[in-house]
Amino acid sequence: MKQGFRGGVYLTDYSELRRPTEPVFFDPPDEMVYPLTSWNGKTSKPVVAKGEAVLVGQLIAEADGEDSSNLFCSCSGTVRIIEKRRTLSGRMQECIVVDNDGEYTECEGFGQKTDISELGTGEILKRAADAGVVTPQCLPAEKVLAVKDPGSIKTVVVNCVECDPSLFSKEVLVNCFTADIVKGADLLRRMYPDAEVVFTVGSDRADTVAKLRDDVKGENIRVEALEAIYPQGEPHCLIKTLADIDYPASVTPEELGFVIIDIRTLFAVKKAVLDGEPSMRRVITVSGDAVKNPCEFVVRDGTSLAVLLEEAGGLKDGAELKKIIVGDHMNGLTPSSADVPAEKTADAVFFMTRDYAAEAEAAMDNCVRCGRCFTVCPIGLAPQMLAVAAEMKDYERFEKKLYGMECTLCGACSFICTARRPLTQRFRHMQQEILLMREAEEKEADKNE
Amino acid sequence: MNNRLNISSGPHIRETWTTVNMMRMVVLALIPAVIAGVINHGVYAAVVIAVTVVVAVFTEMIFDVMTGRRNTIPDGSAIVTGLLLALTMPPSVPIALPILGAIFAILIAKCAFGGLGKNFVNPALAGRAFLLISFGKIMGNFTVDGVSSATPLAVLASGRAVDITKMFFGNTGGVIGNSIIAILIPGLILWGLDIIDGSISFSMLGAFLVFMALFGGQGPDPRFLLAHLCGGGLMLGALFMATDHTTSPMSRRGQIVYGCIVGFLAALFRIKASSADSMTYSILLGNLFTPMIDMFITPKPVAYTKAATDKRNGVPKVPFFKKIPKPVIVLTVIALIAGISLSGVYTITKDTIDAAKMAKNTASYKVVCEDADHFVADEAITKAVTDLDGTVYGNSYGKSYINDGVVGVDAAGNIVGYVFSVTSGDGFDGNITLSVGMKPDGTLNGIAFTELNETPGMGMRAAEPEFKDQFIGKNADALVLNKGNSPGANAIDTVSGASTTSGAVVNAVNAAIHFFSTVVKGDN
Repeated sequence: MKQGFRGGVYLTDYSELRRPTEPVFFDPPDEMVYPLTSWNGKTSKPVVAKGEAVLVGQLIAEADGEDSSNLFCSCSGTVRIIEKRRTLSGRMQECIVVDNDGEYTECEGFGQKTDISELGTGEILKRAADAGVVTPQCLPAEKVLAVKDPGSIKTVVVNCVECDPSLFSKEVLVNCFTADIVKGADLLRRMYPDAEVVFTVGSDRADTVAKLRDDVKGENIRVEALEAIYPQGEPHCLIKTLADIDYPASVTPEELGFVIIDIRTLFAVKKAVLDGEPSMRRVITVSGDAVKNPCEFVVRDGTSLAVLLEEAGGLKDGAELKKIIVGDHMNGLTPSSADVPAEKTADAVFFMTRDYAAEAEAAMDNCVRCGRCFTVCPIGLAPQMLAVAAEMKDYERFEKKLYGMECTLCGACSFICTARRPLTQRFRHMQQEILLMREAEEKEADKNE
Repeated sequence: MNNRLNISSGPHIRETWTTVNMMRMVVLALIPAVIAGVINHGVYAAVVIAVTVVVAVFTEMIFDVMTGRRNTIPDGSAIVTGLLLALTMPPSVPIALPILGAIFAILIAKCAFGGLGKNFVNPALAGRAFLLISFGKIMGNFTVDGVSSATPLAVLASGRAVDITKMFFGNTGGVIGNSIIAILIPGLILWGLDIIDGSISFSMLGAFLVFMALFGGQGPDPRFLLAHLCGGGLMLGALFMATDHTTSPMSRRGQIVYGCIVGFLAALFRIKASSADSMTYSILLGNLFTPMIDMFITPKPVAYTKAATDKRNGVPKVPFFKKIPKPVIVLTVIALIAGISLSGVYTITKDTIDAAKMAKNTASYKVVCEDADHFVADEAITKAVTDLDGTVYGNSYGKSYINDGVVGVDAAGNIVGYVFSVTSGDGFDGNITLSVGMKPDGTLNGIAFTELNETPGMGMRAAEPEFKDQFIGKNADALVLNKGNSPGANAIDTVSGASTTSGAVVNAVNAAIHFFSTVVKGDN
């Protein structure tokens, strides 16, 4: 029931699902598409060529530069072509297209179990990195897990708070893959010997809280039920709720003695490190008011969303598909058609008959300065003033006077805005512009030296 | 390729609550005040309200059509403006005024600046200010049940007590929306629903009360303060007008500063200003401060506050009293000592000051009753004045009030005359107060002004002997004002170009004559 941070919003429930279902393991029939570029713009380098035979768990592209990750094949077959295809982000990007033979022949070493006692911290991190595990924010998992001094970490938060009432993929992990989660917690305790492992769950998911309390027991492990108010799952909100510490963007959780890992990432790390299964499968909620039979799937990466929709019974009779949201309703991606492959960061697909963003754009009105955005901002910014500064391109005021770069882009202010103004969207744009300007300035400074 | 779906930047969903909902809630919250206004002030009030709202809506509609804008009527803000403006109208106002006011409010104050959310002052108050400046006298003419009467604030200003219960239900002289209870309860509900900002209302009322208690002249007397709190448009202003989102600051600290400015100005205007209206101007001035407040007072993210930084860095928490710098404590103690000694001096010298005040009054009375050695109170006169209870005297003297009456006696104790202090609310520019001196037989001995704020060169010339001295020696039941057409023994020539002022003075003197003949001489 805890909510330490200020503001926050209760999200509207757009789901057709009321509780998590037993996930269906789904093996798609046709071609599989593996985008080389993830949505945050990092590209991997292909290591297979056209016509080459590939197996399940085989490396098909390797990390190329910072924040990119290894890519693994989730089916067996032959590489048909490497070409531009439309992806989740809505752009045309290089993809490896594999003709699926439907056999799912596993490659050598796939599924090889390792005993936890054989592993040191370095080995765990290396295995996670090699297996291409990424966080929901598309960062390599080792970025979150690697710390300078493991002894300084006092709390490891395994976050299963889901503020979007229509998402259940985290709960499915807790309910159906409990043993994996417990093992994952052991991994964490091995990596951070002095830390307490805290599982955080939204208090609206009573079953999950009870299940975790029953199964995850032991010294230095506890389960915290937190108020399911958005954005409770964000690092600064979790730290504020658990330890009552506020910190600016310049401070990392690590400096405060915290490591925060999403339960989906933990699950993937456990699979990669102990079970020898690289990151290529995940639990995805398929829901939304346009879907006939909303349910949970365990989906192989590269599966087309259109195939998933078919598997979920297709569209409801007479329902017109207006919008697809991949991820949660606040910060998900919105592909322009269902003909795009599932990627590593997808954990839900909503097929909706209404496009709320377009409706909001049509209904946009003058700001009446009602101040509700001030009330909901979890870090205490002034969204309305920031928006005015953004409209006037007043970088100075945006950055210095109003702390615009502190904005975590949670979207609470846009969500609540009575005049339907695109606040978060403007801030995102403004922050990118400022970062580009900083980069240009640095380059200029380097040149002058 | 044609049926591509929309791509959007998160968040992809919105809450259902919109500006329209907010405006609807405000309209709903104003309904009790409308009902109370109609109950208290009659059906005509309902006509005024309906006409104002309709004109406001139509003005905006016509503006939208003529400028080719999207229809902005459904957002409900024009209805709110119309309602607020109507609630600040006197109940017997000629219908042309609210129509003009509504047009000004919507067209000039709102639409011309870009419509909803872009106006820099509250449109309803801008409309009211326009009417106050242009038609001050009509806007200050209040009636209860069709009879002209003083507003509780006017009564309060003349130093008499008011009936707070009546003010609570709005059954007093004043604007249509003067029922406190019908404003307070919906206002508090809106506050509870987070539609209006409590920090503005409360800081404003707080600043108002503190200033009133310090400089109102009656100290922290709860009855006096409560009467001021319920009087005039303070509640309506604090809850519905100062809190107008568009024209008030956004940050909590800014709102408190703004509330204090408005509350302070409201109290200052009530105590010192010559205009009867304090709320309109204080809120309008506060509105003008808003952009500046928003420019300089911006919220700091929680992580940057000192408390949060200290906590992060492990700085131990300092108890509150240790955080107060020593100079502050020293200054507080000094201020306390000074305050106590000052109030001590005040108490000790109070009698002397009262005596001096009496002497000053005596001096002004002496001007119109020069034979008197000193003045004494008369039981019958005092009782009659008390019975009037601050209401308008008689039916045929305009808005004249008898404030006081004393008997002039010479050194031997013989009655040599009477002096009455009369106030007329019919001045061209506020109240006129004058002392009327009479011989024991009722012959006028002269008049002297103690309060005259008329137009210089016109109404102000009433104080010149040419006009004033006409009253000396007149002995009649009623004087008439000669505007050039009714000369005679009982006629008083008007000050040229100031017939309103002259008429008010003649009415006031006639009231004194009538009062004298009924109370002192015992005529009926």
